[in-house]
Amino acid sequence: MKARRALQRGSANPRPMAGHQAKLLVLLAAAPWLCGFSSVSMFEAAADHGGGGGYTFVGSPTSHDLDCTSCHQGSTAGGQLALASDPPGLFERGFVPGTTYAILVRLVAEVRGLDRNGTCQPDAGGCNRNGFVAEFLGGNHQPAGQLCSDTGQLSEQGCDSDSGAETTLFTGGRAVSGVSLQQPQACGGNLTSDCIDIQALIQAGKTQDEINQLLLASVKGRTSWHFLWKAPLTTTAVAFHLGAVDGDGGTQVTPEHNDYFGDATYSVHRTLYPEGMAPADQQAACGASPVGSPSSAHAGALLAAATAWLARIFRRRSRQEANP
Amino acid sequence: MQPILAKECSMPACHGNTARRLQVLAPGRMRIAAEMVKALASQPPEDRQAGYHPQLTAAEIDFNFAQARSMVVPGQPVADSPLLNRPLAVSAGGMYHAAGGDIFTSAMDLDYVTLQVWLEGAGPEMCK
Repeated sequence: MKARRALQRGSANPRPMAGHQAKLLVLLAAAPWLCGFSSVSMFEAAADHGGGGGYTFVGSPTSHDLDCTSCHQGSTAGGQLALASDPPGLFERGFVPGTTYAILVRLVAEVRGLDRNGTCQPDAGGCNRNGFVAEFLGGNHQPAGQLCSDTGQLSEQGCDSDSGAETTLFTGGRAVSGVSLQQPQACGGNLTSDCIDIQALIQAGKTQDEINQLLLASVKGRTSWHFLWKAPLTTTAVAFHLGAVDGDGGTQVTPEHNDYFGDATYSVHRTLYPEGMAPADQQAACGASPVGSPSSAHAGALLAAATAWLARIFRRRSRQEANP
Repeated sequence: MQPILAKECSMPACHGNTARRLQVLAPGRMRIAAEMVKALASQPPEDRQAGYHPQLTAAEIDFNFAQARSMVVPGQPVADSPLLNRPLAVSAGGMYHAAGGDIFTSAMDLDYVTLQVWLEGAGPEMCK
């Protein structure tokens, strides 16, 4: 799969790291706790421990319809969320039973917390954090298909890795959440525009503390995430629910425990049918862009109303043609 | 009680909000600022490292206790308490709560029963 190969290219470091580089990256891996609000992966923690109490907050029936806006509050000016799949067409035409899809969730236009990119050091203002949670539910509100993290592999035995570089499974694999921070990559054999050449920094006489600070200052809010979903071997529809937050990086409390104000939120609710099995009035909507927006619920309702209206007109016209 | 209130009621758009008659404090949500400072100071570093929010202080738990207790009128049946009949689905005999506000779909829900027996005076010893 193209998306999957791109992922592997982006995250792999083909050269073995020197010991000090490894230490620096271990420190970097610990950066999230230094930098902000609990990750979306903390949702699985009990509510009285700062998590979501087991709710996924995607607006699905398993969360009492609670969604991102139950906590995160703010406006959404100008932002947009996009979904894509590889193989393509999952959100346009539906799923092919048994097929594994690499799904991309992307904040097309991040509007919150941009001023916090590069401020992710201890004692600084805080990090720019974004995130999402998604789940696929069958008719009985049970998980449909099999989720897997971006670095995992799906087999007959299931997903071999709940925790990836970009996404993490939680609530026993029922839902997937996005890692909120974009860590800088150490440059491997090829220098890219967004990697940090630690070896060159060492040769330039930078101390380990200076390099640590530089690494932490390069942490940004993540705006795209991949995960895998294997469609169920079913001929019935699957409900897809997704909630995403474009965080503002916070303005109060402490850098370690940020706030829920000033964030932009997104909701996507889709009924996915096996390809070719969508009801006629749903198929008319298949050309719709798989984009979630702050007003996606309203847009979805409008779209549904419009397609239902069109379907009624077509049915009426068909009846008139059949019975002139 | 507290874990149930934290899980079901304490979201900032719900009762983790000073605009509500019933106000519920919870980690990661609405806190008393001065108590949050104390809570942070006493939080084990490994908990902070793991991403946990500091637990409520004794004063904050007292606050929640007083808030929950205020939902009962002495002498009236506890079933009439908004702490019970608001989160219970209308179809199960409850009152309208909010859009998507059917927290308990049945009066047999374990958390609902826990709230009920607490309001009726049960203490921890009765839960063993």
